[in-house]
Amino acid sequence: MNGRTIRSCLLFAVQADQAELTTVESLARGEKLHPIQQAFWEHHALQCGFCTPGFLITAFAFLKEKPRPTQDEVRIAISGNLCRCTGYESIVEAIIAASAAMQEKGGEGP
Amino acid sequence: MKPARFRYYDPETVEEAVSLLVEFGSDARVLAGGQSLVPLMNFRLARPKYLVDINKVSSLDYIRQGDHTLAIGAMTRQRTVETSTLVQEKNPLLIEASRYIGHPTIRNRGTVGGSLAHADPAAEWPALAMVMDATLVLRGPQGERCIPAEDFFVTYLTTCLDPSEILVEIRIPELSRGAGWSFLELSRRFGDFALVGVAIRLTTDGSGICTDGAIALTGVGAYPVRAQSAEQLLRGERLSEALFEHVARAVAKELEPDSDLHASADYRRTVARILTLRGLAIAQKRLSEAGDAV
Repeated sequence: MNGRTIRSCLLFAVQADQAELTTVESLARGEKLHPIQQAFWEHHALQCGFCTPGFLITAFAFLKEKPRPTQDEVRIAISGNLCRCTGYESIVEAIIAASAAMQEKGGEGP
Repeated sequence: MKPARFRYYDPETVEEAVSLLVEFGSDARVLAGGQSLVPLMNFRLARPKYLVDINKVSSLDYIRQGDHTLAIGAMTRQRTVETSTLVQEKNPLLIEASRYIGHPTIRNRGTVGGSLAHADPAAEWPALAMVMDATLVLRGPQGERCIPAEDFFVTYLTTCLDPSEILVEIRIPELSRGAGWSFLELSRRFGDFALVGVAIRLTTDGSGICTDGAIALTGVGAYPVRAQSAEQLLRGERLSEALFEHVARAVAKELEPDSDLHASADYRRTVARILTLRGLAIAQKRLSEAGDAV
């Protein structure tokens, strides 16, 4: 909301009045995946996909603030998102890979 | 679960908010960041008839430098404090502690005032207010009053705020020049509620004798405490590992923590002792770093 990640379960809809909301649906450009989505795909950072929207948006916001994070910084940044399937290693790899890809392209996003 | 039915108000000034609280009394709750209150409402542990959302009161979002103090508006987001260069310069203890508050997403909405007014017995900001001898500024229909932190926290989730009052500001002294400090917390998982948290600040004179020290703990009872008897052991003494062990044991002895689902009283006492010991060592190291910088 307004450029910062928030827990949608802790916000009443009325509180989002006049706000700009960014959701996972906004990451891709038509058929073209966002580099973070692409990296999740390439690094098998999802299985059931239930946690994936949360991780993608968290990563998207995080990489805006910190375009070249260390592994530890990534782990701390995603510590508020839980995954029951992957064991997180592939998620961390995907985010690191995405950061590299985005550096090359000079940044991308909705 | 979803909350019980309530009426929602979103005033734009403190005055409007206060008059709503006067009208509704204890049937109303103030909604700040919502990161503690909304879960309680979702679980129906809190069922306010009226919700007074103060997120539109923009006048309460600020960090200002005062006379050797920082004045932080109650609606300042925890994330704002965490990333503030002014706070980093004047009181980095606040930033160190901020990193333990939930997760970054929580801190984007959670507010300094909300954490203090909610007074969770394991919250970080109440411990910071206690260790720094902060002053809380309350505003109600009768005007403003200023309360020292040690008088603000009454018991579990209870402060001395009257139902018609709003916490508007916290005034926190800056860390003294050359002070040592630390914040340590143990939780089951990263970002969980603290089992025990310890905030420490220390100052010494030129020859390594402690001139002042404060140790505040959270998670060890109904509200955050200063380990006053243990602090007395520090003052006037030369800092050493042996002294720290003595002080840490005194802290544990002074405490009367609860036993609950998460930890027994004994376990909390042990954790308090160990975190105090480690925290004192970290604070001492920061002292000499500060000294070198001068």
